[in-house]
Amino acid sequence: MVIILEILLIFAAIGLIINRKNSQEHKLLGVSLLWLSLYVLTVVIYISKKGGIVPQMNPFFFLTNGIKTEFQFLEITLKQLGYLMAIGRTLFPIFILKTALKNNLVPRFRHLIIYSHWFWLPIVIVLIIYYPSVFILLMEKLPLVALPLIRLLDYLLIAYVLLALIIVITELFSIQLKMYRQQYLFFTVFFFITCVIYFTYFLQNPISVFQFYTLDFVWQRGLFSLLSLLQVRLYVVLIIVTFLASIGGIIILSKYTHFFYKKNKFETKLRIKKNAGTPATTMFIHGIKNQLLANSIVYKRIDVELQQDQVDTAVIKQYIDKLNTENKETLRRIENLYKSIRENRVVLQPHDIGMVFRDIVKKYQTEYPDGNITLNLQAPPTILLDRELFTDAIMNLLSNAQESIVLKGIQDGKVAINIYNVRAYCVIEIKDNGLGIQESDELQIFEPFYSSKNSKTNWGMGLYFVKSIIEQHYGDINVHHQIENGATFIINIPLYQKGGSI
Amino acid sequence: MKKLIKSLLLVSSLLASSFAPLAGVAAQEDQELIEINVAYMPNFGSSYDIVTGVYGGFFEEAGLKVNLVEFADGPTIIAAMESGSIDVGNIGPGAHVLPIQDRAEIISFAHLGNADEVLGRTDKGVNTIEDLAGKKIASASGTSAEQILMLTLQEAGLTADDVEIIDMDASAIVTAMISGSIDAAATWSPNTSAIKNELGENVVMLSNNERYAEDFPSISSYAVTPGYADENPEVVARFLRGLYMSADFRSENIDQVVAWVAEQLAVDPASIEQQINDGDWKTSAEYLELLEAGTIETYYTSQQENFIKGERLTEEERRDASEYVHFDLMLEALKEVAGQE
Repeated sequence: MVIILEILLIFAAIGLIINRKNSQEHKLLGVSLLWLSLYVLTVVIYISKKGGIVPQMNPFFFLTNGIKTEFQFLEITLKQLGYLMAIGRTLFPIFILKTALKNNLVPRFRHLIIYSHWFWLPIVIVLIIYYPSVFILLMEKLPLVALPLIRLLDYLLIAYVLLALIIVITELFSIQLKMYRQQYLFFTVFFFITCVIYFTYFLQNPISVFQFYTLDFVWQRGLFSLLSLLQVRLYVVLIIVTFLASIGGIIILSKYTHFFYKKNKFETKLRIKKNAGTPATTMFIHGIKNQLLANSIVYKRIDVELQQDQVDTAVIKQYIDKLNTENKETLRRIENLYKSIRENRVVLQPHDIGMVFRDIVKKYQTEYPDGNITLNLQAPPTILLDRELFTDAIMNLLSNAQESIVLKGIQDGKVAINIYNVRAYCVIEIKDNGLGIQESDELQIFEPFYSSKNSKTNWGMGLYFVKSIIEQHYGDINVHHQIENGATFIINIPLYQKGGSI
Repeated sequence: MKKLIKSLLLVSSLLASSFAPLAGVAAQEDQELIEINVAYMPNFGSSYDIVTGVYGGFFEEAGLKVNLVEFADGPTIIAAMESGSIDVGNIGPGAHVLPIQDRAEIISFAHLGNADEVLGRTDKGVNTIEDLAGKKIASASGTSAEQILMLTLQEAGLTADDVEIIDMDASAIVTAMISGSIDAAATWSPNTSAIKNELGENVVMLSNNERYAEDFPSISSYAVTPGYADENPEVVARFLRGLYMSADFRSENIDQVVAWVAEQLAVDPASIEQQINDGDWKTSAEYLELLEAGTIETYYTSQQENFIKGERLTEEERRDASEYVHFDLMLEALKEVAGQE
């Protein structure tokens, strides 16, 4: 079973490292798993060589006697095996800590990133001291210094892993949005399991592999499987728990990465669609052409009417009004399309979000005098905005909300804007009780030229435009599907700190 | 997948079997079984009598439920005893330094062995002990094979500084010797047989226990942690009774014992048969005779002398053999078992 665990660890590590689309923290987690798997593998090889387990335990460790024999007869000196073990045991803590820091948005831990290169210093010292010939020399020359130093460095390795766990768990509890917390929970559980596996095998000290007979200090800790606390029965339980936890961890990790994979895939699809914008533009031109053709029919009718002996000015007025309306509508759509596809130059400046949204609400009330809108500002922060573009984007969402309420045909339609801070982000929620959005449309609605409304006046560029603008503000936008109760758009924009970075 | 399912089934069955009889060990008619863990090394000499005791039911007859645990070498067994996971362990000659240093106590003499050898690869120019100069020699530190290697170097007028000694575990030595990455090796049976079988004429035996028998009797013993025998006299008495009954069974039923050992070590019985002359196995009556004549005590005294001569022990560490070997317990058990015959 430990062998299966080992294989799972290696697969998970390689999968995380080689996937180009994975974020840096995922790649760091992959590297951590690689060092952990090296550590576990060397411990298992050492046990195969030194024994100390009842024959019935062999399947738990090695699955088959053949695998055990392969490990047992592996041609490797005890110094080589011990140092390989030291490498895995020493590098896991630093990489797992870096993974936690890279993932962290909790302000109280963020400053640690600035000093993170100093974390390497003890690691380098451990790797030098654990080098067999250096260690033996140190024991000969400075035995009184060497042993306390090794104990201290051991505690430091434990401290690194514990700190990493604290950071990740604190991060989990600081996430208030259910959707994000659920995703991060997967990561936290896997992270925790990985650390538990590390601590389980931490008892095997690499020095004891190459200095087993000569040092009292390592004598009783010589072989991991000999420790009295790990009696056979406990061992069976431990291995089962480790195995099941690891399987669970891998499943959790794959779910977590699948979420990001889906999101990344969508982003790629979006780029491809944008690049393939030409056919869509052709469609647009075709639509305009049809409209102009329709207009030319109206012109012809006006012409026919004008050739009558008695010109009916009321009819002419009717035609002109129709042309005028069509013209305004066409101009509006062209303007919207232009906004969506032009390269918007975003100029970010600090703005009080409260003021920005109070203006947006006024604009909304002017445009939709019958609309019912509420603004709830829990912690008005300062954020960096291009006020004009940002207002356009939010107005676009509010227009959609209003349209959705009208289409649903309800009397008590309402739109709510909630703004609050979560960790390093300002969260803007825009809720309506209109028609809502189908789960299957959750990602597609952000695609260019996609519309679920099937309306001839809707070109499906609005939400694509909103998404582009939000991303230019270093934020992101997601939608909650609540088909019964309307839709909720959630926008995250980094908070602005004077003198700091976003 | 089948193997995985099998492993899972094994887990459940082992869990069930390990939790169920924790307190209520199967009761004999007249006495309750005491459960102990006994360590052995994977060779005939180290395992035959305790394997016989388990498979032949002699330990159960004596009132013990014995769990067998395999280890690569004697020092590791003593480390396991100190950690509390092993009650009794079979140790080879090299590990006897530890009982003298008060790290263990001996509850029974096992046998004089002849399993350790120093082997040289002739195709790498090692034909005699003098050829070892400047060569790469693999050895497992703290073991009797290392002791034989030191005696061999000493005889050749060499020291450890004149050769390159590589510390490897017993199994890795076999692979390294066969692959040719080392020139010579100090190891023990059945590893010596595996190397000879594989290399044929390219390997030569340079020295063995017999060569240094007078200076360094290759004693194998059963050890416990210091104080264990005083605290658990009943366990030790039962163990010795089972052990000596097994020794007597072996003298009449060698084929059966070979089959049991092969089963326990999960190896071909033919490879066990190759090892049946690796030691001088005794019956309870023969043990009793040697003990009463003081011969066994002499073995331990000579062994200690050799450790001091080989600088593995200092003069200050010298102890009377009776301080770390329980001759009295042996005598009592032997009289009981030998007297029954």
